[in-house]
Amino acid sequence: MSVAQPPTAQSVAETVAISAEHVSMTFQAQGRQTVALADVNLDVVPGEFISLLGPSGCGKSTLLRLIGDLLQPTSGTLRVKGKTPERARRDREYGIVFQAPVLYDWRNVTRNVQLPLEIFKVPAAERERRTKDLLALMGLRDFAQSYPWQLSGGMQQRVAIARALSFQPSILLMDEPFGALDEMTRERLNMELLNLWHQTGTTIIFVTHSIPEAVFLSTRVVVMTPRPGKIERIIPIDLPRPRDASTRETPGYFEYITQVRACLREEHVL
Amino acid sequence: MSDTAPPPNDRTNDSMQRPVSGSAATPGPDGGSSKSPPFRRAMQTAWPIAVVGCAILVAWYVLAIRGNWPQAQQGMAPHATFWQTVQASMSLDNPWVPPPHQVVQDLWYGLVESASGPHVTWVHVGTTAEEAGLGLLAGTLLGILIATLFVHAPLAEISFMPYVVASQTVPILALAPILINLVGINLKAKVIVTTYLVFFAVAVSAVKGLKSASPLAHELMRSYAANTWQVYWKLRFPAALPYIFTGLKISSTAALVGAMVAELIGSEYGLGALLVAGNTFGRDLLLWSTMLAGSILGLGSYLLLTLVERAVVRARPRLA
Repeated sequence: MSVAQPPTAQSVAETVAISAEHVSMTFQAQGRQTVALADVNLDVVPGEFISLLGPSGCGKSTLLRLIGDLLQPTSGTLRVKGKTPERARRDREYGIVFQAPVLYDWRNVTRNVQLPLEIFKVPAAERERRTKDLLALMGLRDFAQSYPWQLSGGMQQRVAIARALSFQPSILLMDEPFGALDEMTRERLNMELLNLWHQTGTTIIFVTHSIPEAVFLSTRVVVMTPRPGKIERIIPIDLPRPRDASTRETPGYFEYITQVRACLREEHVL
Repeated sequence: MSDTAPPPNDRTNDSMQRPVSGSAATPGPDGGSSKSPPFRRAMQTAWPIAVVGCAILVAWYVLAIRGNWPQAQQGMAPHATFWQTVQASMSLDNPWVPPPHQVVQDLWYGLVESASGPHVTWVHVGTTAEEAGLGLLAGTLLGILIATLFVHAPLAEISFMPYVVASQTVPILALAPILINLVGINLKAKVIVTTYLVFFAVAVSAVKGLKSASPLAHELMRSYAANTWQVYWKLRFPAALPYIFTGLKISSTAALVGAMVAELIGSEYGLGALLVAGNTFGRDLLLWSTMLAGSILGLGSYLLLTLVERAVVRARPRLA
């Protein structure tokens, strides 16, 4: 347990979904050291939608991977629901969506979505039930038997999201999930993601380099800057919810975008 | 990651389903083959094969006439015409270069007309097919087993790979007699020789295949806290199947060669034994018809594997 936290693990888990204290990450490659993250501190409340925003090399993906136990920090402490990231991973707290859909070519849509359930040894009948609901929710019902290569990029990413949600993880880690999609598809999937978030109450960590996307989606935007990667500022987004397409036309939305841009300009990123 | 990996997905607009062209993704010459009925598609495959087949036949006949010319002239009157000599060269008793129809006739004779006669070709074909089939099966299992070991224990790959490669540089003609001396002239010996020729290509392609899944696909498994066994059966092995089939197809012909080479030594039955017989009794026609039987067998096993592959491998169709 971290030294600075007097409350019990239980109470911490209730008030903080994810906490990072003085987290640093240094990569070693060919004798050269690269500081990917320097002294990152962040507390995430359960049910929050946090965007990690910044240019390439600011360490936003690294931070996501550290939380998801796909990497281990060089120093500092990470806690996920009061547990180490490794414990949390083994307890299957994470649903992960990458920029690429990473679907298995030899499985159709249904079987791709069922992959984690198979690994968790969920009984077949229960698997079928949950997949059916999810495919309907994600607008994939007509593609249940299709193979990944028969779907467009946006549809593939929907399957990836359905797969991540299939086992109802408490934390969704999304690494530029819509980064490779066109603007229109991206906006539509943004809306769908918000709806899902409202329905499930999942804590979401969302890596992006799109300022409008971060502002539109998040409860808080974590602005990060590179060399070395660090958190520049955390901007709470108090736009009313539920947000929809018209939110993108309100003055408040533009003010937040301006605010984020100003923050990035101060650091000569923009 | 690997040079044979499928091309990355193009992520374009949403909800537009790409046309599904099934397994026949290579468009034919007219470009519209994906919509044509199976018969037309089959014809599009058949005619180029037929054209090449005819070319081979023509070349074979020309070679046969030239090769048999002196032999044909010997049995002719000195003023025989050109066409008379050509005709004679087509039906010599024991020609140096038998023309195709004589080879086919000889095979037909062995298979059909003389089912209980001097060379019971079916038994020979069956014997070789059995040995090659069993060897292919054993070699595939051994190859996959070795690849699985290598992939999970890199130290094993580093330490054993040189010896596996070295094992393949030993000529099978040198090894077969030694093995047969050890094991005896029986099915086991022939299956061992065949297995020896088969496992290498399967192991090499399976190693590549078992490593072919992307790092992200592995990270996904890690996020599910999947165990090694689950990663193997749900990710590594299915990803490796297309590679394994490539190795298998290469090996299927090697299996036949292995079985026939093993039969050269003291065997009573098998295409290899027929070759020995043809050689011993100076019956060249028998050598040729045995080769024909061997290639038909090889073609058959290749086709069979292709069909199994189509049924088993659910990978994306390759776009030309």
